[in-house]
Amino acid sequence: MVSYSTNEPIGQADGVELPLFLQIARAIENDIVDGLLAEEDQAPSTNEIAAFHRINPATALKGVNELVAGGVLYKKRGIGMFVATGARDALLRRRRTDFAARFLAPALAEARRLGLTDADVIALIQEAHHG
Amino acid sequence: MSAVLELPVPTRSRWSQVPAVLAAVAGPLAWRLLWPLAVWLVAAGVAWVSLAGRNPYDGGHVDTFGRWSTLPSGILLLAGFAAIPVLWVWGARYAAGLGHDRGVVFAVTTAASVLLQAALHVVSLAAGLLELRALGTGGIHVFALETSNIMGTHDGLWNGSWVFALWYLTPVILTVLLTSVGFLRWGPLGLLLVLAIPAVLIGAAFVTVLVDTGFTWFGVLLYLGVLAGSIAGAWAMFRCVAL
Amino acid sequence: MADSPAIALTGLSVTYRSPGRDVAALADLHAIIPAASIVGLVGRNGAGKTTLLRVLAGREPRFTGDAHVHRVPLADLGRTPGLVHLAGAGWPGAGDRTLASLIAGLGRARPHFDRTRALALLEGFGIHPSAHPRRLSAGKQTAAQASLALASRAPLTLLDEPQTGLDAPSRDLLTRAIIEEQALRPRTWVISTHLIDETAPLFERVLVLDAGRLVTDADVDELLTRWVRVEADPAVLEALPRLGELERLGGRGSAIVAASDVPAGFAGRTHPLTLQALAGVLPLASKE
Repeated sequence: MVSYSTNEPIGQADGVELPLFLQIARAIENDIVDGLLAEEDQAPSTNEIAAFHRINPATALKGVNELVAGGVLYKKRGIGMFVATGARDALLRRRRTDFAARFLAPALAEARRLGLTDADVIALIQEAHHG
Repeated sequence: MSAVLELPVPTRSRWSQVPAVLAAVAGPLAWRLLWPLAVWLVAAGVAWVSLAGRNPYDGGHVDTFGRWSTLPSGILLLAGFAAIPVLWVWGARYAAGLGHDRGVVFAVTTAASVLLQAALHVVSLAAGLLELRALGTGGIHVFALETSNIMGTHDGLWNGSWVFALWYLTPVILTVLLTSVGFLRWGPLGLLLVLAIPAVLIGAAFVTVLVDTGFTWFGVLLYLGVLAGSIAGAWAMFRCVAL
Repeated sequence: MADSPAIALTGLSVTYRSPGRDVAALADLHAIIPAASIVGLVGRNGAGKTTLLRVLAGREPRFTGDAHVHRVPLADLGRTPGLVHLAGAGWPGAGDRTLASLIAGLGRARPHFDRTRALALLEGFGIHPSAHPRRLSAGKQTAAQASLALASRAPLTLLDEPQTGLDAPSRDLLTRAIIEEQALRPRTWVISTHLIDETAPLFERVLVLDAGRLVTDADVDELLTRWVRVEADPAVLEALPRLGELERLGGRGSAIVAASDVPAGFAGRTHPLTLQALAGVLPLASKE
């Protein structure tokens, strides 16, 4: 996504461009996972999100609703969106489960293309870890 | 999925737009309605100076008791006609471009075109009468009306000039109005001429008929018919004008 | 009112007749645009974008077919002044007016017009209300028109190439102002632009015009998941139905293909498309 600002949400994932609203959802999830947004903290409003990323407020709303549907955020009437208790744990669990599909599968596909065996890949991982 | 639209659809009676349309058509400080008066005053000044210097001037003549010039009133008449295209090409287009109802814009601009002539005539008349009252028959008269010569005595000023204005000038007003709207509708000068020539011919024939028939029923019906037909034709063109 | 579609077009056509030939500026347009959405209008120069916007604003009365804005027929737009606002078409006959005078006229004509907002926006762009619009530079004229459009608060606001001549910071200012307006008081926007990628984050829907025809009327997210760019051996790509050319570089071919047409177990690489790239080739889809 190109915008004059540098506040761009995460673009690609799994080699496919995520729709903008899902990018917004993922950005908020990242904040929770990274500890920048604690449980029971108030999440930024859709208008703030739209202004920050220079996107349509309806898109921001769609992203937030996605998180509400997923139980990551909940709505306090008249006040705003808040991070649900247990959201961070749930996200960590979900991402750990998806880790293999999201990160390992593309890496292994690339390894296959390069002619690396599984043993080669494991050796590279250990090298990266200790290096 | 989209947010709730909070803006209500604005509704407003068409005719409540009239003051705003008039302001838009007349221009800043209503200059599009008033500029003929400025030209008229300048012409009056020029006529006065030339008569004072005793130089024979176009339209001026020397009476036994005073010096008269009908040039300014003639200029006011012409300026009044020239004001019509200005009202349409700039005023009406602007008002319609702002979003006002086209029917209201048409009605206001047509009324302004016709009533402006009447108003200018009243001003000219009033100036002539005031001047007459102030100066008697001596001195320099610059606000004399041409019609006072056509219709004879100065007492006939009222009858003479009104007949002239209302009866004989209407076809000219209509012609100018139709060509202005025709220009808006079709643009290029070619179309302007195409409309103007038959319109002027019809107008001339119309005037000739009326001079002969005068205030007969036939004359009046013909007059009203041409009036109605012209306005209907102008509206048919104006509603299709692209802005 | 919120449930009536912002725009409903049925068979909308605009034909300009000139001696010898008729030019169809718009040909048989059918579209329904939901209220409070931001819609992009893209297409090549001369595709009919400006004509469509002028028709919707009531500036071009010579059309056939039906067109309604919030269930108001276009012929009756004058009875609901302030329903539609078009920026980018200029103000006919306004040569003698300053911006302040124009604002006053708009305020009288359009019930929702917010003068304070108009002045604030103009100030943001560095334009003084005592300026004569015609004597401003192209970029400042665009900015002035856009400011008036934002301040008009018309339920249907049409922006015809509102970034023309604007420098990048001004474009950013405009984007932020549109977002702010939409967040506070939602309305329906149709924005025509050539800077598609820059403006795409605003769009929920996009209309693509090609030579007067509407070739695409779709949700942006859906469109960008429907089509992808694939790179592989040209021989493999030859077999796939594609939009536009099969481009080659060395031994690699690249083509735009429907995601559903990518075979299972496809050995090549798949990349997402930008709206700008896609909009350029979409007209080719309807020509098959």
